Amino acid sequence: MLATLRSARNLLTFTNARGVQTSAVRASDHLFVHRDSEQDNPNIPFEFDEVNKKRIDALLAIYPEGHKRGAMIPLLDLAQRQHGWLPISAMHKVAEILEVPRMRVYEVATFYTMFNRKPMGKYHIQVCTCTPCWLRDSDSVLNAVSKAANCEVGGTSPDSIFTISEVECLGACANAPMLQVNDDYYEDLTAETAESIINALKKGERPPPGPQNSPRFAAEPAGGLTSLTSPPPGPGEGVRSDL
Amino acid sequence: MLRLPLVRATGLSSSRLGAVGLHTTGSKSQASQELVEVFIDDKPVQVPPGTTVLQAAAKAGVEIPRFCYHERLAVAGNCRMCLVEIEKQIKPVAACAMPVMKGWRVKTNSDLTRKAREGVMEFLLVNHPLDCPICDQGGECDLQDQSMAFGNDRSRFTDIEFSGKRAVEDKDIGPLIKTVMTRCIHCTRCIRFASEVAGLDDLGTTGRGNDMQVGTYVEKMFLSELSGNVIDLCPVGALTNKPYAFVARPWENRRTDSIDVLDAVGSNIVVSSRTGEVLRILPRVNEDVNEEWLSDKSRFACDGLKRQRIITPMIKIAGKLQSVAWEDALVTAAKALQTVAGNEGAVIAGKLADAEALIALKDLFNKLGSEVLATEQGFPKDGSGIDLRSSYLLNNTIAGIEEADVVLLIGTNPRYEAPLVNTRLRKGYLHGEQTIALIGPNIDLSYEYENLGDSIDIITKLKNGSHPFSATLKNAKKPLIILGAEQLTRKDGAKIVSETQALANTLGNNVQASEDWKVLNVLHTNASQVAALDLGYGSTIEDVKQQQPKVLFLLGADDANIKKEDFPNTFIIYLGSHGDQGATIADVVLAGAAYTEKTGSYVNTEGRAQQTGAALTPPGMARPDWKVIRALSEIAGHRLPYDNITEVRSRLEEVAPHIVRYGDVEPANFFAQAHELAKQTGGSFLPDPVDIKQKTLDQFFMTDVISRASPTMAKCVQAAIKQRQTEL
Amino acid sequence: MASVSATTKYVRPVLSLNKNEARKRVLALYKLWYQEIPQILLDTSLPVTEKMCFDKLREEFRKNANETDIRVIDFLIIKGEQDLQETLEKWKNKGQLMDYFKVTVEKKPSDFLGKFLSGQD
Repeated sequence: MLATLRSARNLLTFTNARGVQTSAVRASDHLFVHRDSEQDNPNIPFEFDEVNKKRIDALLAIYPEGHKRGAMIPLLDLAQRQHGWLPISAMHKVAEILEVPRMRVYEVATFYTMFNRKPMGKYHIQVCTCTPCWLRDSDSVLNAVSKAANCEVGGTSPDSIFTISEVECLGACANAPMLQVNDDYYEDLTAETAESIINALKKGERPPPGPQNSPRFAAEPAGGLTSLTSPPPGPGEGVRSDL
Repeated sequence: MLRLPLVRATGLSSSRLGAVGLHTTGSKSQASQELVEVFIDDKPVQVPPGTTVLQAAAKAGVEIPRFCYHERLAVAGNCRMCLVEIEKQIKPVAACAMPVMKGWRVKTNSDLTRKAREGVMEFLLVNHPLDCPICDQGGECDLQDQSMAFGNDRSRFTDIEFSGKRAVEDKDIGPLIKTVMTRCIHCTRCIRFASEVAGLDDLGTTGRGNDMQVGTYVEKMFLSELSGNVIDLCPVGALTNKPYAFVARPWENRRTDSIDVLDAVGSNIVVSSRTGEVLRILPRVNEDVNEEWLSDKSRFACDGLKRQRIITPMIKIAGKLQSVAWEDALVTAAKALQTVAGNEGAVIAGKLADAEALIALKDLFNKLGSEVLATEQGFPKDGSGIDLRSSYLLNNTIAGIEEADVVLLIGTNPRYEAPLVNTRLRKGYLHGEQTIALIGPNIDLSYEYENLGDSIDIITKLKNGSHPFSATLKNAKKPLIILGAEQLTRKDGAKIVSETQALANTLGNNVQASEDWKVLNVLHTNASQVAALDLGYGSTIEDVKQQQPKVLFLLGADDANIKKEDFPNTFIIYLGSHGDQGATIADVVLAGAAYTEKTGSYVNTEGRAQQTGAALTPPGMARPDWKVIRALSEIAGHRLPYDNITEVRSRLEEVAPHIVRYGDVEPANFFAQAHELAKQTGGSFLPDPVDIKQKTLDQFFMTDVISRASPTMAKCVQAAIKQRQTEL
Repeated sequence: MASVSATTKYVRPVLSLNKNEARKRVLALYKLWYQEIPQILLDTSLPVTEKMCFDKLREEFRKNANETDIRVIDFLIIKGEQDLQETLEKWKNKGQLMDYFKVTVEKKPSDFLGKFLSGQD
């Protein structure tokens, strides 16, 4: 009975004879044009602080005359670190320092996803949901983080402390699942450890980065070494004695 | 830092699009290099090393389809439409960016090539809307043509989910360019044009991948004196002509080859007309004049041809101009002319006058005995005056500007006075390491230059060697002086000419450049000026004012800045196409034709004679200018001996044979003699600083009757002012 | 070449066999018109004088003075007779008769000024 129903359904539904698939066009959730807002408009002045000014001088010294625009990404990064995110006036400042047209800075700033052109929370939590992390249950980590931070994924918490984003592979698959808080990697997570990290951050602490609740160091095997356990052979090993 | 070629190669960061370097159309001495033999479809062709596959194919007569590649812009190599197969290479190669190697066998029509093209075309069309019926580019669209020629004949695009194609919001980039960014195929031609030719880095790509879009990121208008060219460059309908939107299809327009007269460059244009109106103006390729660009004023001022027109002759009756029949107007004017004896009659020729009208008017007034023939922008009479053409031509030709290594601009803003001369300077600056200096106020020339100050006696200092810049000038191999014609209307104009001639002469003696390198160049702003000077219009407006003539004939002179109060007892006859300054003070108004309505000869600033084509008939009762003058002469009793355009031109040939040798530059000579004569010029410089009329973009758009009558130009002025205020 | 001999094309005459006969017919037609003109003027009250009509008649005949082909002359005679009949029977109205005089047709200007004022080129 079920089989006949299924075949009847096949008859009724349209099937693509060529079997060509098209995927839905997925637009990025970022806007690639600038809209003036209260927090972000060209009239808000931006100035690098003294420490960063010294850093800029050092950075510019790396690049030869005529190629100063090579320092664009480091400068944008400095601006983002100073301000927490990258407002348009910061881009203008960078353009002014590098003496390039503003559009050339916009191009770079919009191209790289690590430049945040929207106001961010104090802690930017990037939860990896790529395949290896996902297989190790990153979904629960994401849910736990979202709940603990009182912040939806892709948004900023009302108290502007957390911004959570779902990201593609961050290159720590051996320690899946993982998340990144600003510059720190937290690895080998469970929902509980993730929650405790958030709670610690709320208190203003900085929980030690790296594998959580795991005896191993960095990405070494969890159950101790399984190969290369013996010391490496010294020189002359296995070589004929008369040589 | 802007000039480093690799950095400048594209407006985009080179890591993203793989800039390959520039190739310019300028003359290169490649003759000495060995040639490389390659085979395009088994056809052998010899090309210099470094030539790209696409250029080699073009030499062999094989056209490779392309979107992003453009001869006059840097190579971007991002559309992939030009993929071709090369024997013994596994993958197809982008022909526009790949330099040929010896013995390569390029297959432009193999299965692999065809498949690659079809694939690229399919990908382009996946994200291109199927809105050709409502697209203004329809009929002249590269994507349309090439998908017909090289694409697959059926679509595999099935939108099962009805999720729609990629959509991008439209931008507002000013009153000239309409954007439908969804149609954009990311060829980046507009970006490269803006950054390389226009010198305005406002366009760029934002975002990446599927979200990449071409735009300005911030809300900003793309306002430049050359912005309209991106419409021609855009291979699809993403950037289209805003005033022309939804007006006509290209195949229903009549195309008339003509010449632009809104500046003194004489850009070659095509006038697209239908049902008795000019719909749009497009540039026509002329390597020696405008390459293939056109300034915005020339392109978009054509709607001014429909407004403010004088369509009937008019007579001032009781202080009011009233429409009358031709007979009445001509008789009234003729009666006035009959009272004239000797220099009691005077002529002021406007900036749009054609040579035919100029010669007819000169003949008529000479018959009456008058020699007071003035141009709107006078040329000083001292020294050789207008007797030697070398004193008032852009002697080194427009194309020759590129080759100069040091350029001195005196009181001119080529960016707005002659945008297509400025593109040459910018090209020389970017690719030829030109050093440019300016005597004049601080202006934005779209390239870096040294401002020597705005005092006119710097010319003398440069000549004496007492100025810091004179060393640079002296060491130059190919120095060039471009003198703005506007400065010659100053009271000390004669002194400026003579000093500039002296400076050019000193430099010319230093230079070991070839004989035909000419240092002295005058950049005019009025299209009629050179022809008028060639024909002997030697007076200035001051002369006319002093003369207080009984009858003053204004041949389209609307920018002469004369008032009725200057001529209280003068009978003023105005002949022109638009009701403007001149017509308001006239006692008789005769209806003339605009440049799209008559066949007229013009000589551009370098001395190149060209002719306009009549795309339309003059509106209402208006007639071609020389015919009005001819008719008037008959009624006034001094019949001019020509009845048709051929006879007028043979008369022109008698007076100035070069004016009817269309397309050619008649070079000037006798530089030394002009300099000798100029030595006698007395006087001294006035302390007034050098000023330039057109300093900012809003001053560029409305400079003559046609552009002043154009609503589009009015919008441009508004937009330019608004843009400047928001930037401040 | 020798095989080509001169041939004369014989055509069927329309009315007249020779020139003389054709001439007689023309004169007869002219006379007929000449005699009828006063009557026509009486009947139609055209705004023309007899003199004008005689001149016009002469002019119309003179127009074809150079015609030498007898068949063409014959056809013109037939047309002239038809015209006369149409006029006498009043099949032609006043306007059609006045058409001979072309009073409403303006001549195209040939001089410059005329062309200029009329706007014709």
